[in-house]
Amino acid sequence: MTISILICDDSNMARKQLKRILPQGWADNLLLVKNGQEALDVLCTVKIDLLFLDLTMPVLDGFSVLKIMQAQAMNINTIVISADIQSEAKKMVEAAGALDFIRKPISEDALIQVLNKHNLL
Amino acid sequence: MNSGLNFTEDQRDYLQEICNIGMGQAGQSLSVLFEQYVTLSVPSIEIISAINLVPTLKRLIPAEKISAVRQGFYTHVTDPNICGESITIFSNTDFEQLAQLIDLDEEVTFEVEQEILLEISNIINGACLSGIAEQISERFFSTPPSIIGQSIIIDNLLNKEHLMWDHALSIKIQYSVDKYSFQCDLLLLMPDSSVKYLQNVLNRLAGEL
Amino acid sequence: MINKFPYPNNVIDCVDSGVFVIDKNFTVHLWNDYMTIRCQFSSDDIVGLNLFDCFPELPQKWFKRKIKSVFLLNSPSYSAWEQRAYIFQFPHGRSVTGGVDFMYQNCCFTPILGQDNNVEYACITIKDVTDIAIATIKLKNTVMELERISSIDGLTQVYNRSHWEKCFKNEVDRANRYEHPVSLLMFDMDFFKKINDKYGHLCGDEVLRQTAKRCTESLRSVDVIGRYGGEEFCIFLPETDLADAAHIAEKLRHIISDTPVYYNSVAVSISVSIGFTSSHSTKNNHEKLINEADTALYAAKYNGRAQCVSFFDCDV
Repeated sequence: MTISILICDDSNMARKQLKRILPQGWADNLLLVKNGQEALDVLCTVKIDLLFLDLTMPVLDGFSVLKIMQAQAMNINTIVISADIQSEAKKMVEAAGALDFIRKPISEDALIQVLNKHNLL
Repeated sequence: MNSGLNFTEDQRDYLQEICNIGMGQAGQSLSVLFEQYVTLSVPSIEIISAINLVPTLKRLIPAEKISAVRQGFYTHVTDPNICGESITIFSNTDFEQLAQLIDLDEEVTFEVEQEILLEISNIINGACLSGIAEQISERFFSTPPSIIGQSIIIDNLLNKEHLMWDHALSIKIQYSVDKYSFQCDLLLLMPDSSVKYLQNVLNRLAGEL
Repeated sequence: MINKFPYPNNVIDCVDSGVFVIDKNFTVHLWNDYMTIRCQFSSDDIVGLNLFDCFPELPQKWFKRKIKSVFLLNSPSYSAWEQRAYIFQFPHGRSVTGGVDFMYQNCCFTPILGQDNNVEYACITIKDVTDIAIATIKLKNTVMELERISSIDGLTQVYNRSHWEKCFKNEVDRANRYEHPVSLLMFDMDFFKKINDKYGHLCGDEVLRQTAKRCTESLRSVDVIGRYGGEEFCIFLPETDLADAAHIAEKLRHIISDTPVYYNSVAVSISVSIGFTSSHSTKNNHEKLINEADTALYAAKYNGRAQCVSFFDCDV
């Protein structure tokens, strides 16, 4: 089974950091986009198993992406990775359909913990 | 444009992400104080020149009346790697609403308005700088906050004659709480020498990725 | 090689500022001599007690908010005398009070981390800034006084011409911007030269003083009077139309002239001629309005004095 991962973050540094700590050999297909609109475009054409989503982005932010996916019942597994660490933010993303929330700067341990928690590995 | 203060795309991107994280911490701190959700914006970074100061500020902060608080920050007093000035700018502030936001039960006098400005600025500044500092393995010290002006126009924000720099890095980070029409921008201003040190740090971080 | 300093705990008693430490529950854990000397609690008395129990006059809610940010955010907090004169009611210890009851204070609230790297205590320092505060306040007052003096006419204590004109121009701009009316009265003492010749210049001065006083006592607080010339005064009336201006002008004329001015037991009768005008478009010009009032004043004189004339009744 091929695992396709989409990373959506406006920061090149954040995308690279996440890419670097993903478990070796886990993802067969890794796509990177820099805002919510690009993410939606990809989601419409490619089957994605897991989306890593940033919140504060230009053009279309993470909250909007979640809402659109929810409205269209797209059912994509989504983990939000954000610098916005307010507990309210966490509640809002989970209510909008995200699986979980990891705070930035992301650590390898935090990532593995969340992936295991949701049986994604 | 400006001598030697050009950022490569990588440096700019990394700096933006570092500020994003610092800003997230400040947002968290503010939300603890306000017990409300604080909306954060994408930090915007640019090099500003002392000559173009007023038009640049007007573009960055288009409000008619502002109140502003300054705090100096430094890694070391006499020989700092990084030093600068942080200016917290409150746009079109409704002090009655702001008093409600921090659950004040005193009468909102002129002095109380000032206290509110100083307190919020101190919290935003402290949290944001410590968030940034953590990522670049530095430690920042700040001076106590002081009021630059209350309900002034942005032209009078910084005295052009007393600026210690020709060019400065400006990082603008916006915080807002919609329900209470609270809007506040943090401007971090750093002179040439600090920017150069920062660029080296960013290169090192980029190299580690 | 020097041995480690053996008395680090005594050092805080050498510091020339108040230093004390509290925990999350506001229980005092440290209290230096500076604090002890200025209140009734020594270190032995107060360590282990609740701060607010010992100092019920402290602004509790404010204090708790300051401390909250220290504990929750691991971040220093400050208080400055300009916003809050003092937190503790300590005597200022100055021989000359300078009109100040208590010590002015700048305070700093700093987090102290425990073993587990969480904030366990808050350290509060109290710095005496009474001298700076008194000097700064005095300076501000002096500057304000200087400003006041340079805009006031020495004899009559109303605004001098230049300041009044500046105010009037601002009011006309404001009236234009918000499309509100503004009226202008200009009056002149009748036969003033005769009064000076008959009773002396000092009497003339007293007449001017009394006239100004009678005006300021009967005008509304928003109306602004200035001494425009030797014996000439101008008054602008914000938010006032022509009809109201006419009433006010006539009322003022009576207040000024119905009673004589007493100088050295002599009753000196006085009267004034008043010309008035009102804004009449959205682009009024303050100089033009002054000219209109002047024209009306001239007409009042020409028609026999001791009367009010509106610009709009003048044959121009």
